Amino acid sequence: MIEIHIAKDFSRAPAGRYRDDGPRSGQAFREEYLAPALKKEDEVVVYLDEVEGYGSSFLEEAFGGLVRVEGFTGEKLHRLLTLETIDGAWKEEIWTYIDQSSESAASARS
Amino acid sequence: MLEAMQTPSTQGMFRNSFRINTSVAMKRLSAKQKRWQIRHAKRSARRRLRRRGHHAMVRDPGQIRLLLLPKTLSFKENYDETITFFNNLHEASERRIPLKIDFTTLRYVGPAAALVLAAELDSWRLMGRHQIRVLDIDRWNQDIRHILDEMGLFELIRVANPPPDLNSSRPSIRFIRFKSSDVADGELATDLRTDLEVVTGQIPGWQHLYRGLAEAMTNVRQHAYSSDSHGVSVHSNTRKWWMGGAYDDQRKVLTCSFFDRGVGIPATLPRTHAWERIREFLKEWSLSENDASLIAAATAMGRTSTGAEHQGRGLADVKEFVKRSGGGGRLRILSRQGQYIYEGEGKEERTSLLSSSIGGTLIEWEVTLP
Repeated sequence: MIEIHIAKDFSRAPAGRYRDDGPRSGQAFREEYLAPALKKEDEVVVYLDEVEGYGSSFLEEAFGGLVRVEGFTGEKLHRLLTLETIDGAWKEEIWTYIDQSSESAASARS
Repeated sequence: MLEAMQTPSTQGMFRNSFRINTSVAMKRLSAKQKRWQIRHAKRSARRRLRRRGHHAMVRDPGQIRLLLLPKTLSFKENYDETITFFNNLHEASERRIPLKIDFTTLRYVGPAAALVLAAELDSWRLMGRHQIRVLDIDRWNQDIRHILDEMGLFELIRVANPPPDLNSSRPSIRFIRFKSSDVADGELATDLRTDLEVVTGQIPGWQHLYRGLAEAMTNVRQHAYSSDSHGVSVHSNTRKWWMGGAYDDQRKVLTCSFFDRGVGIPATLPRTHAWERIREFLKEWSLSENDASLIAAATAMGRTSTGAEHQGRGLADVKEFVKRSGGGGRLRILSRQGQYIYEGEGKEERTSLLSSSIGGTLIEWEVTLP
């Protein structure tokens, strides 16, 4: 199992969608932490708390981008990825982005 | 009073002033190129002046202009005079015109107006390569002097002779220092919180305000200074945003403001399928297509510059802090000529058209703390 603590490992102040937006963007987090861990086919636990907060662009690009950009399926992410937080809204929001990306990808294929 | 000056030879004309030395980078241009630039600048300025209806600008000999600050600089309490002043300052920035600005008449400045003042002065300094000096600081209203110092205005615009701190005046509204950047840097929002909490104590629901600020920064980076925005051009050569905060001790009201000098939310809405969604929204709510209702639409459904659904939520995030504040808050967005006000779930969202464009986008959160 791989553990990623966003606040400790990445930033307490994540912001921005793309790398070009700023130094601690969703794209940077996905490419440097999330995707490499998941590509090891291991269970990945992401701890979301102890940050200043999250903008929707950051969360969508980091997690929705796993499907849209990195090519993971929603089914595989539901199997490998665990989100730990005391804020249930963040967890729900992230899974919404993953599921929406999965639906979009499925629509594009059909 | 405070005013701006251009060259040493003109300094004697002004007492009580901001002094500005310009060194416009035209040295390497040929005479023909210079003439073309001057003609082009004059044509552009005439067009802008016609568009904005300028009327409170005084032209001085030697191309130095005098700007008169209103007694009350506030979007809430004196919109027309406030916006006229900012439009004149904005135009001076775009044309790199040296200025003198009379601050001695200023008696009240609102938090959002103070932020826009800082942003416009900062842009004016950067675009015109002006060096700014403060003169006759003793004639300024002491509260105004203290507030501007507390906000870090003199530091932000790199005044050559910052006035000494004035400790004798302590208005009930405490301002914190401006933050500014041209990227989405969450650390600056952290700095804002840290500064605010010195006067407010812990801010309940901060993560929701952070969410709005992070998305506002991202939107500036991705959209505000876009050159492909329905034919609306950005004259600025800076792509910055500015944010600030204030706390009214007596009313227990926290204000946080965010400003950019971009083309405005209505101009950056997409032409692709999101436009169709926005038009559906306007139709559903029986709203006509104007700057104010387009802001409302953008906050309701987000926006995208690509038509991709995954990019469509950002602007909705700015409502979260007020939505979760328990009914004691207000979000106001001014963009181009539109105003949008949101006071929480279940309350009517208000839109209105303003007399003149703000020259960018201003987002203001105002929340009563427990």
